[in-house]
Amino acid sequence: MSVDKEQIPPHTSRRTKIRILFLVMLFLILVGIGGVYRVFLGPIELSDNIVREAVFTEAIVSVAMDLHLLWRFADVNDLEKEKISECMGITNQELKNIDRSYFQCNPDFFTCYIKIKHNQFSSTQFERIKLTIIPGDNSKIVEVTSPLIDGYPYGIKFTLADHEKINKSTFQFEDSCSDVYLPERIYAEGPVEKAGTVDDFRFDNFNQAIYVDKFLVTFRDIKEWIDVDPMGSEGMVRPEQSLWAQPAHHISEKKMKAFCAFRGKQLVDAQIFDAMSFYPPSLEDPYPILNSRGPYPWTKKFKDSFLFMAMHDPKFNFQIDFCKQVFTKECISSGKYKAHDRGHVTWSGVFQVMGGPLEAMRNIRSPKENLKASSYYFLAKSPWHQLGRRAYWDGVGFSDSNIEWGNKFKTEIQDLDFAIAFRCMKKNANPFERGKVK
Amino acid sequence: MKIFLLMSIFLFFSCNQVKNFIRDSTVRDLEIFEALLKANILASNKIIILNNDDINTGKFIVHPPNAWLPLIEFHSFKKKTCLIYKVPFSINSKDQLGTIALFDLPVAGGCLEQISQTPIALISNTINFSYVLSDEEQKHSIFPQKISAFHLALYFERQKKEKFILIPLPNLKSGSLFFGQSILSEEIYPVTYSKKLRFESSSSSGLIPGFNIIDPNQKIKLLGDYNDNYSERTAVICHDVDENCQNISNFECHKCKYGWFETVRGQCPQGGPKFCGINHCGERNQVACPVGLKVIKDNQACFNGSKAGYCGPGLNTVCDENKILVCI
Repeated sequence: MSVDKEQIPPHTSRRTKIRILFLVMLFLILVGIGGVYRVFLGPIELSDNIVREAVFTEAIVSVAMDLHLLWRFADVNDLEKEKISECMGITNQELKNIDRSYFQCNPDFFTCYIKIKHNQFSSTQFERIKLTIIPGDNSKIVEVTSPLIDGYPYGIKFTLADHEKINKSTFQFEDSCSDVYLPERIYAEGPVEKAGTVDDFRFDNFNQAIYVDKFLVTFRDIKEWIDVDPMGSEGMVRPEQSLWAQPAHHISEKKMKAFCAFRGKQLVDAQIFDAMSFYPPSLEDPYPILNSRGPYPWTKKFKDSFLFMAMHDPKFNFQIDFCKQVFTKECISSGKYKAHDRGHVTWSGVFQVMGGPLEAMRNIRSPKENLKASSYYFLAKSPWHQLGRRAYWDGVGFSDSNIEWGNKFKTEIQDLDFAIAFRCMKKNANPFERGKVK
Repeated sequence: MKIFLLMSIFLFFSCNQVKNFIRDSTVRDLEIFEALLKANILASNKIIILNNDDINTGKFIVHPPNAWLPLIEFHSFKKKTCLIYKVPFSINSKDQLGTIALFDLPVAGGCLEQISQTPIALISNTINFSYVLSDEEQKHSIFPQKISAFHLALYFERQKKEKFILIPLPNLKSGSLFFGQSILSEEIYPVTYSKKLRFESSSSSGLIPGFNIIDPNQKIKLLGDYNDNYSERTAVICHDVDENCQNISNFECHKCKYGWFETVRGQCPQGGPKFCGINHCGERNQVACPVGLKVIKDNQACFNGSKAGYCGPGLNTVCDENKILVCI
């Protein structure tokens, strides 16, 4: 039965229209929201993962940069230092006799720091992201690198990762603490007695980037070499822990060279030793007509030095404070030679060039002068306490019969066993600078 | 009526949310772009500057309009990427503004060839773009701060807002910034370039000296053996230079396992030929030790009795069959 349209009441038609309008608008809104979700929310969800990965990358690099500062400067508070020292087997008493520089670029220090921090790190910018160092192939969290082992410069490497080990990066920290650049200049070799004679020898290092170790090689360095390179260090005895901070001695010349080679370096040349220790006449002039060969590395005004007074002033009284500058024979009764001693420094930034143990070096032009004699075997007044004055060591043994002191200076030695230390040097290249000699 | 009112309110909030999404997505776009840029270039150990004219000028790039300009290649051990900028047609045109994009760079193929690919990161509708990357500190008025060495800085404007992005590149070393065309082969230049000052160490210079992000799986092959020496002709040559001071081979002595030593062939600024191995210079039948470039002022070539090298006592310098000064 059809219904006459004129018989449909008006309010019924309006209600239907509103319902239809409502349904249409609801449909449009839902479509709109769906569209918004697909266009905006969808990509934002995806991008959250991308941003997350980027944030992790940044956090890892940020923590690594903080760790590099620690590696480079070993700057920890006293409490941390105590715990780290304990971890390194250093007593509080021994700690007083070790300079802070010993801990810089020191793999043992770095490994112990990680231990006391329970291997948990986060950066200040991303505090909630917790990172940890994960073991490498040989199950060590920190591995020593060396040109001989893996081709990298000497240093350490480690892998930093998040807890799920999804985001990770491997870092290598070079040893940026131990050596110092020798500026390009004209230098002279040998003590002041040789100046102006046929034995006078001048040379230069322009376009040769030479780096000299700031400190003598320590027993810790030797211990590490033995652990990491058993083949190259064959025959070496692992030193006792109590000696690790001290300059290494009782090592043959052959093994000294082998150790330096492990570090990608070579035994220091006497010419380079003199270059980095004689105070130049003028730091601004790299082409001096004459080279100065002052007796002491820290000053040109040598007459003020206690060593000069000890040698020339009959009324000179030795004071124990002098030991802080140069550790001579008088200092032995006052205590041990300070590890990584920084009592004096040369113009080029090298330490331990006078006093302390004897020091071996390579001397091509004068092979009979390969042993720095200024040491704690001689009193302060001894003429051996001058730069460039060297004795001869046969490179094999450590008794008096293995050393020739010569006839130049009165040498009264009663020791039967000598500590002969050493340091290394190396050359880098500077290919972009080559061809630009001024 | 009530339903109509309710629906109007609902619609209003929906539109407002849409408007917020749009606004947030603009900020989000920038955040994502910056995050993606950082994640992909942070570990770069080599940079190739492809556009020498516009970098480090402190000026906006406006030419050539509407063109894609390759800016920088970033190389890390994981990947290579390329930063490209599309210059605006005109800052007044709303639909042809600039675009900054980062693309993956395949082994074969240049930067510009990638613009048809999907970028890793992209930000569009930009104008007034300028960028900086140098091994020296940069100061330009458009940047809100000084730009330290080994930092990538981007400045641009988008929807009337300024954006400044600063990304440190801690894995870059001095000598790993190159200017020129894209160089796709590895190890063109040695890593240990450094211009040193007194008291500096031998570690690689860069944003953080001695800091390296490395590939844990990379095996570095080193040259030479402990017993190699020149007299037995077992030493491996790592840099060859002829009598006319021309480089015959690339410098590769940083790859020597046991260090290297230099010989004397003439007074060349780059030194003479160099060999891997322990330095025995000055010993009998070994190479003479170089005296230096300035102490001996003459351009002496290799000849018997040359003073350009020195030997141990009782030995003299002799020029051997390789035109290298040896000690006999």
